[in-house]
Amino acid sequence: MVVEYSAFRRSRVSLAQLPAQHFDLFLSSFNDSFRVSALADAVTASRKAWIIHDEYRYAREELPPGDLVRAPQSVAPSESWVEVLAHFGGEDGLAGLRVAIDITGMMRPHIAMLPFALKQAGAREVTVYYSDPESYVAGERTRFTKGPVARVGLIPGMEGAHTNRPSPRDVLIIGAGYDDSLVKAVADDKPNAEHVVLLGLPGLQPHMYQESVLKLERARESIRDFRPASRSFAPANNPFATAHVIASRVASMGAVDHVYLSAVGAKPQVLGFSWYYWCDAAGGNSSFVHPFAERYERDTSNGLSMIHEYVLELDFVRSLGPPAALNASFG
Amino acid sequence: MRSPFEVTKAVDLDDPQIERTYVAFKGRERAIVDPASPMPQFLTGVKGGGRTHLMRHFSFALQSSRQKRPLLEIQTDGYLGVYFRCSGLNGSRFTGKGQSSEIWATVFSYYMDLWLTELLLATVVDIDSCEPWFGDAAALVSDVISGVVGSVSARMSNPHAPLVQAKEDLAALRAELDWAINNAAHTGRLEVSIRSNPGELLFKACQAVGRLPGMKNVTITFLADEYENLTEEQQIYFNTLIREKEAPASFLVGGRSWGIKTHKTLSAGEENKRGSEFDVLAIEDAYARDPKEYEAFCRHLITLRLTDFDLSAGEAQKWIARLSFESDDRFLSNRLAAVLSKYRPWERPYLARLGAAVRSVRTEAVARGVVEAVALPDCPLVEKLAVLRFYQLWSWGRDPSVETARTARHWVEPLLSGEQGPELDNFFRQRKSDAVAQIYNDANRQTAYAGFSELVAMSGFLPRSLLMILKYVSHWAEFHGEDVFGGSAPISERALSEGVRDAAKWYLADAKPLGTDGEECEIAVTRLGRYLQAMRYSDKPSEIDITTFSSNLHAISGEALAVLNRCLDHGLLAEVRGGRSSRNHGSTHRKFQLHPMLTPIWGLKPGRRGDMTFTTQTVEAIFSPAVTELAFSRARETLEVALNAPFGGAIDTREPLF
Repeated sequence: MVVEYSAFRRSRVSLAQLPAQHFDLFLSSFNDSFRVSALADAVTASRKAWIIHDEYRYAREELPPGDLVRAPQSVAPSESWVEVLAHFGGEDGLAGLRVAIDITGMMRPHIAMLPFALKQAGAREVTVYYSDPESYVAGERTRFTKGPVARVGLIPGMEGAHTNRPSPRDVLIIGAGYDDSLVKAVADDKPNAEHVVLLGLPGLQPHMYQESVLKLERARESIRDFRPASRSFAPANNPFATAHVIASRVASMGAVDHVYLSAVGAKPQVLGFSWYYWCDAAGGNSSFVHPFAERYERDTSNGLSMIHEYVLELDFVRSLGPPAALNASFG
Repeated sequence: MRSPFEVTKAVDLDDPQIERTYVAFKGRERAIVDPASPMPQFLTGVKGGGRTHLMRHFSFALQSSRQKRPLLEIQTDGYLGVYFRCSGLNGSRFTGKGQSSEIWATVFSYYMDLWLTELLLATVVDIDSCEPWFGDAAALVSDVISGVVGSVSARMSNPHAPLVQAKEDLAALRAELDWAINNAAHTGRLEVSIRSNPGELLFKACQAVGRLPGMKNVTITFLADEYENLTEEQQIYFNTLIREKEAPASFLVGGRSWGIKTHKTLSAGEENKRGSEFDVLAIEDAYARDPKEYEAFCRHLITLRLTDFDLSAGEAQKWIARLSFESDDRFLSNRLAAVLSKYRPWERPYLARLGAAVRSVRTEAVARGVVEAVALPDCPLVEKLAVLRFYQLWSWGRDPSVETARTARHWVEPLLSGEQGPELDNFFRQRKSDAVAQIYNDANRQTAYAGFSELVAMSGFLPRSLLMILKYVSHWAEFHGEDVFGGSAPISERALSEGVRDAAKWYLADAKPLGTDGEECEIAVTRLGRYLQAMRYSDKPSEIDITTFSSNLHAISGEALAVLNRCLDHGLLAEVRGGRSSRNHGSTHRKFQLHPMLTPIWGLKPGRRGDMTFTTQTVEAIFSPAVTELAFSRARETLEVALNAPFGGAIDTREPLF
């Protein structure tokens, strides 16, 4: 099945427009950013719950009042999602509900697993919100991880199938953002793969593309073929365009043994990588690789400039049946 | 490509490029390791020693490129190289997901057997495609495989190609495992059917391949690269294969020193013993045993790169010579005159500082007289040595007077006429490098590095580091508008200095481990560099060309020792074999050198001469993650007070520190 990514629905809304829609359930990952709390206040929903990620290390007294559900820090976000969704009925718990989720403060591995987790919980369609910042607190020097990358590894459950040749042709597609240490870590982990850097263009704000490019320079020695001509581009705030660009790039590569995906840039871009994986690549020779850090900064942005709304039609998410074509490769 | 040094990693080279750029150390094919050896070998070291290049050179893909008839090449070589990267296994998959470590150990061992056997069959299929094994020979191999794992597919897709069929069957079994391993994360269940005992499939397949016509007396060597990517539990299984190996199988394991996590096995808890079950060699140690051969090896390697870039052999040699400074006299008069050209002779910074130091303890007239007494405006290097001698005399208790300055000048003056005795000659040879570095530093210029030998020494027996130096140097030279590969003028001092410094910064970022461990290592070597820098650029350096320290490490904390060992494992420090005898007690101190690639960051010299004895407190101040930056700065200031005029005001800061 060829997925027509441009057909998926997305729009921009203002804070004032948000209450026009009513949801049965609204979930948002709690952190100190104004844009996270402002969006949560504006949404109307029968039930609102905060997801509390361990990575932010909030003490009990720092947490907001209301419905809280802990997302344990786990090597496997699938296990973390199972615990979160158990609060809402577990398997089929979201069936028939109108669900909205704000991914602005969500951990990247959780976004990577989001479409599959929601489908497993019975949802068929989910509205995802992301709010653009006006700026980041330290401009292009903003670091989103707190402390260094602890390890790089495949996200369990997004590990795919693997061919076995002495010199395989692997490809690593990196969705890059400001944090060059994340790009370096993941590129160093897959030094043998061909590296494709996907940048957000246009960026979330006009200056952000150039700043990302400047930061990328610091990972130059880790990236194979650093030439700008080898890069790909997709709008940073459009996950469906990101998914489309990845699908096109993979298709244009010919026979490839394995495609590693790693999204360390803006959250909508991470969602785009995830959406491509679950709609196009799951069950095949693709996997999601991630640089895990122990802790994340609670507030990295200033203001709220715009809210993006994406509708995920989860029927497009592939099921993980047994391997149909054993040892199949792309192209 | 704009430079022959653009590609610096073996992973960025395809097979023909690997072969074209391969250089045999000492001109001998197996000078480092022997891939035909039945004794398993570990080839270790830090990043950039050339392990992957060497192992790929031994792989079947490259063996077959050296002969039209690959089987003939294999017979001549005495081995069949089955190369693979352990990173391809993505070992992190075999953990967690609600399964016990015992279950994962079992699944991993089965997966590893399938993986290795599949690779062996893929290699044998490649040979078969060039020189087919007719009749029943090939079928016997597939019979052995199916005898172990049973029937895999109901329908044979390749009935006339039994080797291909066997390989596809194994691939199918492995794909089922991939699927089950992935889905265990979602279901919490790991349902796999394990069809063979550990090692059985692999060694039976090796024996069957060994019985193929033409394979008699051929060792099947599994070239396992990037071994550090396996977890400790996974290495225990690999060690078990090494221990239980059956001829004709053998192993050559490549990995970083820190990545060899264990030699334990599953064989009744036994541990493999070096010399009995395996040999181990760090590739840079092989180079370090013969520095002259290493330099020749590097020269050959660079020449190959340059000739591949369309320079003739003669032009390549000339290009290497262009990395040296322009010719000068032994006092470097032209070079230093240029460095100091912005100052009038009596305003040279080291003379101004000398005057200020004397003025702080004597009168203005004495200060002026001292400066005039040591001034040798036509020969800055000897002038600088006269200043150093004056500081030495001062620190030994002589009055900082005009008389002492005259003594210092008279002591160095014979250098100008070439009539110096052995003591002065020795002083000149030993102190020249530090004095030149100080003149540069005083003039706000970066320390200069040049000459192929010095750059090779800086690489610290890591060829990739040399390539990185040349890559950065050529980038900077190009940036400054020099005709880098077409011209004949020496590469500029500026491009060399900037290139070397960039390469040093790259090395630090590249060599340090991931995570907090890496942050701690970076802080430690940065402190060490700053401490040694304070020594080298002091008025009276107590050691020459300092990059090395020794310590008994007796009372050092566990945290500091862990950071120090991590710096060693990752090539940020190097341990000097044999250590050094303690000056007071006759005991042996361990001796460590800042990796030469890092020395340009702090303007240090890459070679190893002087050796500073560190107290436990100093080692703690540098290596302990618990010591604050302020506390370290105080320790460094204590050193500075002791080594800079007026030499008397040393403050013991140990109490406030610890």
